[in-house]
Amino acid sequence: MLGLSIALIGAALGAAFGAIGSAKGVGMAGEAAAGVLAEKPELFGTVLILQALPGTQGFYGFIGAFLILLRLGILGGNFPELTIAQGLTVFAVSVPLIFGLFVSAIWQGKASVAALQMIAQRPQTTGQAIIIPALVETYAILSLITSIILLFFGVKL
Amino acid sequence: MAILRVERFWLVVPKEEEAKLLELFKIFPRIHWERTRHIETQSSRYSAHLSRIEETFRIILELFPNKKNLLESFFAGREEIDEKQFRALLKEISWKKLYRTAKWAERALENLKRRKERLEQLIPEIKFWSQLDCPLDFPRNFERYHLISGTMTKKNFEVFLKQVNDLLDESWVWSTQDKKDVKCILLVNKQNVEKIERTLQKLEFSFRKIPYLKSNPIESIKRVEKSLENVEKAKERVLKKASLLNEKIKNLQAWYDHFLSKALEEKTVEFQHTTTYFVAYTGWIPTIDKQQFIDLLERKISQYGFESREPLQDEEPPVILHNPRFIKPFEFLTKLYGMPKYNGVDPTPYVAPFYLIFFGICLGDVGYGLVQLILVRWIKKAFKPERGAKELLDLLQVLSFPSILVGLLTWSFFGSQPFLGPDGKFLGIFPLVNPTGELMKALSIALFIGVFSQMYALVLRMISGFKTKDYKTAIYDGLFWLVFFASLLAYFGLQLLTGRPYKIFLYTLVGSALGLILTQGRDKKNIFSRIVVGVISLYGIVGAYGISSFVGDVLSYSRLFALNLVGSVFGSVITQLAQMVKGLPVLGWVMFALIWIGGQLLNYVLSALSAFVHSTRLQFLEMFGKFYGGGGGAFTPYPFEGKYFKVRK
Repeated sequence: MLGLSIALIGAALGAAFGAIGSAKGVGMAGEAAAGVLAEKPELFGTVLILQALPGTQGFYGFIGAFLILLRLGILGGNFPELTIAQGLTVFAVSVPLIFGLFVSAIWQGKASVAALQMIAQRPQTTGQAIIIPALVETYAILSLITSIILLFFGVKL
Repeated sequence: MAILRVERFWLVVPKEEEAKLLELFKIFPRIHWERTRHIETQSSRYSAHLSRIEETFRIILELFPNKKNLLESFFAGREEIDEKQFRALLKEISWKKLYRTAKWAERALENLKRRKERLEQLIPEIKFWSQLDCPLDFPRNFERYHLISGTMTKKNFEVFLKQVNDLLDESWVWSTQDKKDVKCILLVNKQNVEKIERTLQKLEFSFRKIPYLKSNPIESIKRVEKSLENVEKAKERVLKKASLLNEKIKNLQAWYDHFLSKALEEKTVEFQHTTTYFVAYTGWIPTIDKQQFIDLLERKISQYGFESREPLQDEEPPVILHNPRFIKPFEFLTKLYGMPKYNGVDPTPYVAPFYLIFFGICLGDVGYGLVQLILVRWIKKAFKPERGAKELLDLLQVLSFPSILVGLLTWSFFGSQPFLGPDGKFLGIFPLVNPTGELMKALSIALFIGVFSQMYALVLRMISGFKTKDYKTAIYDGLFWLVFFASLLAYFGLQLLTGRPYKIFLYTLVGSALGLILTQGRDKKNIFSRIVVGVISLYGIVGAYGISSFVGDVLSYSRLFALNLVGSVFGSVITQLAQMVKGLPVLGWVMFALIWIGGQLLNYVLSALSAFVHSTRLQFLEMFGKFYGGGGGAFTPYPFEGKYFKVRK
């Protein structure tokens, strides 16, 4: 059962780190958002989008963990016997999630803060402002794709 | 004809025709005026009125918080009324009366608020001395005595009595105790005050004033509470009187628009050249509208002079995009990135099909596509959005169709795949591709779209180079790269697939590589460094492009697959979660509906936001980055319009 435990710890950490990163990112953006709204309440819609952008990593982490559970067959009610090596391989699947999501969410939060400052001064640049933090998200997506590929092609059960 | 042709014009009228001309400008808005000077209008009469009305709005908002919902505040356009109704709104009540009422209400409420605060502070102060069973209006100041009141711990009080026993001979002490503390009032001889106070401070005595009131503490509290009730009543009275403001907010908005349009009229002097007898204007007008404008001048103005000409080589005319109806929504994206130059190419029609594909794949789900379509139609009907909000909604409306289509092809309905036969397909056909089951196939499709759109972007670079007569860019940075990558893919692709590649691709590959090596370092003078730069740029560290950039860009398209997958997995998780509670007795179905609808809406919003942001990124970076620079100024008609009403003439 140790193998399965290692695999599940990996899945859980992937989801957890995605969520922690997003919480921090959205939180930072939220502080800046409140500042912008105090001055310009009419920008609520845009500000909401900018604050929500670093939140996607939490979802990617969740999706990653979900796919791992799906692959292990746990969602179907089975508890497979995994060797320690197999467990570690599944753990490896989560490594891009743990690091990629966590770090990118925080940096996306920082980029969101900068973008919020930008629209506070020049509300007409909203479009560009939304694109800036979105660029950071590329790396979260790449992490998720790497994990998915590892999961379905690198793990032998 | 994606960029509308415009002409520069000059218009001269006698000064007495100026007012008429202004009216004409209002009914003919498609003109981009050139400013001739800047006038400071902060001090104008109208801007003073406007700022007073804004202040009134602020007060109204504080008194009667607005219940606008998120969609409304984001999308709502102006209310449409005819001119008669608009005039009636102005006539009904003067803005000054509303302003005065607002200021009066603000002051009155401020006073009441302060009074309430004072009274509320008083209650704990009185309660502190509740054991005193006498009216609290006894004297506080004496000729020979000094009154000290406050509290300290029991233990310290005993110490205090011992320490100053001799000084208290001529004093009067009242005290009351609870479990830990002693509250006391001391009437001490003024000669001893300093000493006694010093001792008290050492023993951590906390000084507490006794509020001066005519009745005893218990009665006083009742009286204060009564006063608080009165304050609340007075507040209600003020709010009732001020409710007029809330009722007449439309009138106030009409007044705002009235003064705004006056202020804007006043600002038109910035467009004027004036002489003693004449006023001249200059600006840009779309060539297709010119005749209509001249006809209008002919009818409305008795004397005028109008001259126009094509833009000169060194001029930078404002740009107005003009596309067929089904392409028009995509102009929103081009404007977001930056307008093309007047003599450049409008990229909108060229990249629109790709944007459709990007967004369609990212939000590829029949359910979400339908939700988007219905939502957009409803918002448009309910809120009558204008300008940017309308453009965004138009775009989202078009984008719901590819989402539905991709949803059909992948057989995804809110993340689920219903009605599948034993072969895992509906009617043996759908899904054509199943992103959750056939990961590699789905990823390959995304990457194939990447390769194709990168090639296409190079074609566009070539075309835009030819169009702007920048032949070097067109051939060296467009054609050569295009042939290079096409040959590379064709040669090695065929080798992988069939094992027998065509020789011709090898020749074109080598030829184009040589071309690139010779031209990519063309800004270097030394022939040797030119070739070195050329060779390195094949890889892509220096220069405009390279194999590494190509691979990176193509990989970037993998997001299409990832976002589609995330959306459908999350959708199916929500359905599974909702189904868990369905079996519960009584509330099972209600909870199922709540979780399912709420969850799916959340997933739609998140997926649509991601789809929009990432499709836009692919268009801006991976496509526009290859061939499009923006840099043009937008054609901006002068806004003679109000902020709150759209007045029909």
